[in-house]
Amino acid sequence: MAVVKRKADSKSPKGKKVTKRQDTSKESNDKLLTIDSIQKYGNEVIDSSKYNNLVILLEQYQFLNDKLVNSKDVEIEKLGRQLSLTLFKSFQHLLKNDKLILKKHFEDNSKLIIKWLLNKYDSFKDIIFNLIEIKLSSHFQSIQLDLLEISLNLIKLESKYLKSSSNDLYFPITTYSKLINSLLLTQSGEILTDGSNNSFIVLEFLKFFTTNWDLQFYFFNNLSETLQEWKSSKDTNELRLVFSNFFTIIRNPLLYTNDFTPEDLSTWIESKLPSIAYKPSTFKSQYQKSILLILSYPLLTSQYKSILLILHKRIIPNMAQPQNIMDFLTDCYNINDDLIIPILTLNSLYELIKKYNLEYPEFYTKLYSLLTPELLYTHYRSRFFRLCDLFLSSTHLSANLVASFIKKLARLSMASTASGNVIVIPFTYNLLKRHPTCMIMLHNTEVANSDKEYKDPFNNNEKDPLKTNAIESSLWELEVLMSHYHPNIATLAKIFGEPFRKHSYNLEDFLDWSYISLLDNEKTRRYKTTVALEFEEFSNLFEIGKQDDSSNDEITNVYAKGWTL
Amino acid sequence: MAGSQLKQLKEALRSKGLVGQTNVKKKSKTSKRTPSETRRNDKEQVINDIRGQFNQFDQKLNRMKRDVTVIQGGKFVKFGSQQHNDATRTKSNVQKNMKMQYDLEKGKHGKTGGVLDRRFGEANKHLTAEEKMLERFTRERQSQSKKRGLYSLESDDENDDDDGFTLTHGGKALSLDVEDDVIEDNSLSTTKYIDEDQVEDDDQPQRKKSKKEVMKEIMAKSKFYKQQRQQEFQKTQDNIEDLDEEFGDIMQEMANIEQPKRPQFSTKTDEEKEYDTKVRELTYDRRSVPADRTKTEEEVKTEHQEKMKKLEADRLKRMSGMEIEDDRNAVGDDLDDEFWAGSDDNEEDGFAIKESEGEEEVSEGEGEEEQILGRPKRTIQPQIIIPGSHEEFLKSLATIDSNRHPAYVNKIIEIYRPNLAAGNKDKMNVFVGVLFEHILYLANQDKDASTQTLIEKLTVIIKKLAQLYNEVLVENIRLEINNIQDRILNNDGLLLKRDYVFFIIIGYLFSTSDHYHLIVTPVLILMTESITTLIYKKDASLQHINQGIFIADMLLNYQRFSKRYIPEVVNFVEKALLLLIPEPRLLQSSSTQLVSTYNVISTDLNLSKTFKPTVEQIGEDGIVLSIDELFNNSGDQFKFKVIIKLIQIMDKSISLWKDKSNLIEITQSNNLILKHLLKYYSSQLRQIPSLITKFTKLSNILTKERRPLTLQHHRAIPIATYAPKFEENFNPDKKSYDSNIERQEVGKMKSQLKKERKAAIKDIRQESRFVANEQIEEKKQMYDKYHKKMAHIVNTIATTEGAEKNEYEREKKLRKSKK
Repeated sequence: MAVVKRKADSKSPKGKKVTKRQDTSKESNDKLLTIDSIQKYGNEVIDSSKYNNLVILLEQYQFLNDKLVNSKDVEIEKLGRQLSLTLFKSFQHLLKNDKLILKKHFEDNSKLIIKWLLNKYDSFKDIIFNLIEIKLSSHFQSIQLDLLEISLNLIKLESKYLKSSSNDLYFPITTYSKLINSLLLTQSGEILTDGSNNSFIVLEFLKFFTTNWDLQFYFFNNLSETLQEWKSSKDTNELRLVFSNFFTIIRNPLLYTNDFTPEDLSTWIESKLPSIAYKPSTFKSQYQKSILLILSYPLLTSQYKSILLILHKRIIPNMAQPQNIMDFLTDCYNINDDLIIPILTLNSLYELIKKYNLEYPEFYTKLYSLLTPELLYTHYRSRFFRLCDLFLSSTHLSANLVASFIKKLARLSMASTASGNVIVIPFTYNLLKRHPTCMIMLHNTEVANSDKEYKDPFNNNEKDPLKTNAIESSLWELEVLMSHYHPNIATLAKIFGEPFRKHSYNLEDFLDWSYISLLDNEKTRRYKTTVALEFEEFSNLFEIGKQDDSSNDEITNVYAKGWTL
Repeated sequence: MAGSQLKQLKEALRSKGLVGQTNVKKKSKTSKRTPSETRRNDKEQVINDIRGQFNQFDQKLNRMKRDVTVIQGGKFVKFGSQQHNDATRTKSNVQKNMKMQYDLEKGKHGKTGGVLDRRFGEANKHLTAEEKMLERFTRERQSQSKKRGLYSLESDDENDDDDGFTLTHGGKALSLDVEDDVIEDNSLSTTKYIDEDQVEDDDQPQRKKSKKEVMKEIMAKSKFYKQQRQQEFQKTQDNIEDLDEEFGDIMQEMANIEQPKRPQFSTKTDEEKEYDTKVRELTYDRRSVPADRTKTEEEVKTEHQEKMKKLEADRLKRMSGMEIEDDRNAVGDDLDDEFWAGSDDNEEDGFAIKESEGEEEVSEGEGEEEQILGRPKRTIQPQIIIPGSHEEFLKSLATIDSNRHPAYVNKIIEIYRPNLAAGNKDKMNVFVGVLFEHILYLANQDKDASTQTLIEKLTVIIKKLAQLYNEVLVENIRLEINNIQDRILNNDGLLLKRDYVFFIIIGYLFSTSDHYHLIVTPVLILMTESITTLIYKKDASLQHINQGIFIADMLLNYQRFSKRYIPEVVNFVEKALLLLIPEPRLLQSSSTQLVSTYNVISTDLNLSKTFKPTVEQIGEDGIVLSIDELFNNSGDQFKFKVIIKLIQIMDKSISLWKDKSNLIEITQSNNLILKHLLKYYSSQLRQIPSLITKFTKLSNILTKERRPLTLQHHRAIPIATYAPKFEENFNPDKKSYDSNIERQEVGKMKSQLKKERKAAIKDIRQESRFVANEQIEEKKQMYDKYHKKMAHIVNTIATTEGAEKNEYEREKKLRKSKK
């Protein structure tokens, strides 16, 4: 206020009016201004440089704030939008007229004014970012969207008018990173089941983000420090929310690719970017820092899943040193209570092993430990078997190891779904074809013909696939599948009793079956001849109640034994 | 040999004794032989030889420095070889022949064909026109005056009945008088034509006919008859056409004729009417037929047994996935008969529809039944309308006591038997669907004491209809399958009561042991899908487990005969038990022995270890649960009931699959859970210890029996060899080694044909080329001749002119000199 008064003194002709206004505003402190008056104030700032109006307008936000959270008034929405628009226009005017930039050759007085204006400008921005961050009632989302657009436009304006010389390349990093922070912290959305966020502001921001390289580059700039700070200061739920917002933003492919020319990419600001933005190495290291930090957050299981789903394709190629993500992957891979996370980790691990020469100790032991009864019931089983096929494709693997995998899979098939069995049979066939030494598991005449006592030597508890003795066992479980209830699976299983003439099965044909597709397959069959009927006669469908039982002892043949209606 | 060619020739001829003086020795030798055919041939040959000697170039091999091969006669021939020379000679021969042919044809050109004038003396150039005319006239006169021939076989008297009949030869009358003329004529005419047949025919009419003649006659006759037939046919056709045209007129005429009026009302008396109807009815009465001998009880029994045996065999075939020949129609008929017989029995229960609105007083009892059976047409009155939809059916049932619903349904089926009226089949098709829907509808209603029996009875009816209305039923069931799948996917995996009953009915109606079954296979998939969604549901409720135990039990029911393995059931039973038993965490240590999971977690479904259930009386067949119960109960006591049921199912499944080789692992896992249960409820679950021992025994036996697999017991697969095929009787000239003679022949013929064709084309070309050359040559000659002639003329003129000129000059000189 002191500044205001001083200013008022220095500009005497207008000073009186300003004080007058102040008086009136004091009177209306309790109530909000009308739309018209807001417009009027705004026009006065632009037309007749009545900068003190800014204070009044900014104050309005304080009154608005409470109402925005709770009320549902349409008027308030209009008011809020008008207010933001007016203020934006005023500052736009100021920016365009160089009223917000300090230069050495200015006089003290004008410096003072500029400093004061800058102060107001900063507080305006702070208000905006605050509003973006909090959760408003659903009726005022339009205001938040307006604010997002205003802030992005401010960034554009700043880059144009706030640079020190006309030839300078400037990007308003601080403003943008503040905006990013508020976006990441925004509570406007909720975490969805797939670990992302449904916040409309974030989604709106994505529209700008996906097409503009500068927004992407500066998004990761210095983000790691903020993330680090949050990690120590915020609680688990907040961190998960941050991750969900972060994930929503970065899950789409970035403009960065290995052979890109950043100069060609479209940018949000109109001038060229500083040269640093065109250095892939800088981007990569920034990117890696923030990714590693955010992955160290305590995440939800669903968030693990969703980040792992995109990790190997979208994220690893953008990192400066992908090896550093190893720790995260190892942690994921060792999560025991959820089978899916390790399965999803496999993809990224494979990527690292293949491209970055990563050594994973006891890889096959770990892979073997993933073979649990749940595996054949998960949705991601096809993903697992695709990779597992790849890992076991080498013919130089030890027969013991391959035999263990085969035997274990056979065990699992004993209690698996039909679709699981559909995968296991051709998969085993291919393995046997590739490793003919393991054929002894199907055809072992030595032991079968001898009279010696024989006990299955397979040790189901052994964790090391090299030591399970599976090679000395036999695949009885697969033999049982020959009498599987589904006719096609039963027929498929019969290949183990026939000569192995086929070179290999194309696994892709078998991986993606489900009960639904199996049933759809049945639906298309046409009625040809009379459908066979049961000829056995049953005296009753249901068990007869007890009162009848006493009178009539000869209930012989009940279909649904042990059930009544 | 020396001397000129001529000398040599003379010498050669002489030496062979063909010409001039021969030496004495040879002469004596030759003279011994008389001249004969052979000798003449010898001579020709000798002359040919001599000719050959003098044409040395025809035989000599023209040796060249290098071998040159030319194509001659379609073959590669070495230039100058014997073959080549031969070919050249034949070629020149051909040329010669062609030349001859050409000349011949040229000579004939424009000289064949045309009209021959046969008139007397026309061709004779030596006769003048007057002489010709005179000669012709005399001949005409002669033929007219001598009517009868000298050798006429007619009687001597003058009756001239054979006027104009003369023997002819070559179309000319035979008579002695004209014989000379005939000879002359023959000499005059250049060609003559005699119809031998006609001549002979006329000569000897009595002669036995030759085959050719007979055939000719037959042909002529048949042609004649054919024509006659055609004419007749044409005639009738015309007649028909005429009649057709006039038809309209006739009809018009007839319409104009007035009909005698009939009395408007029948004049018959009541008695007469009654009599008429009786007579009419009598025609429909069943005639007395000798009845089939009543079969003895034993016969009936054996028949039944045989039928059962056949059905059993069919079932086994279907189980192994073999298609059986479709002789099920007979079976269907059998069932059909039984069904109608059955329905009669039901009728005797004394059911009748209230027909109070009808005019007739209907009495209950057998009398009416007979009437229905005897003359069904009369009783098809609209009192019972077959429902076209389920709503209609419900409406019509609303007025009837629920106990009598089955009888009512039977009645409908009875009345709308497809053989009674057209369209009944379609109506019944709809009705079967309605009935099926109704059973499921009943199941979904709130529980009622009578519902169960009602469903049972209706199901029995459906079963009887299933054979006849198979396709409709299948369609309805397939629709229901879709509905159930929707429920599984969208209703949190929870089904309705009707779906439970649906599963029972499917098992009851259809042969669930088949390898593939149009209905059962999809239903199996549906059921396993349903339990699978329960197994790994994060928030499974007791309701889910309840549903699962029912479906698992039904699945085992389905497999009671074929004993197919269902992995999902094994998994479900274990998982469900783990969800219900107290303190499942304790099992974690030995979790790798479990089949369903390695990671045992406790949920809020698990019973607390302090819970003490009250013991219920359990029958020998085990606990009986009702489907209704499954929906609403959730207490600990009920959970305990479910556990008992699960153990029962476990027992059932193990007994079902007792010869599967993987049972060791399953019993191991089951025993683990049972032992755990025993810790808590040893007093309540008395059956557990016996079960454990049973499982252990089974497992021990299996462990002893189980040997490593020897599945690959097939003949060793030979390695494919690709050695070249060796032809034993290889011959480079042989064109084909085809063993099929017919095909070989055809091939040969084809290639021959091709060759011939080529040769023919070649010949034709050669000939035409030759002819063209000849013509050009001729033209050249002609022009040469002409020019020469012209030159000659000019020359002669010039010489005469010159001579004249000289003459003139000389004359002039002479005159001068005279002067």
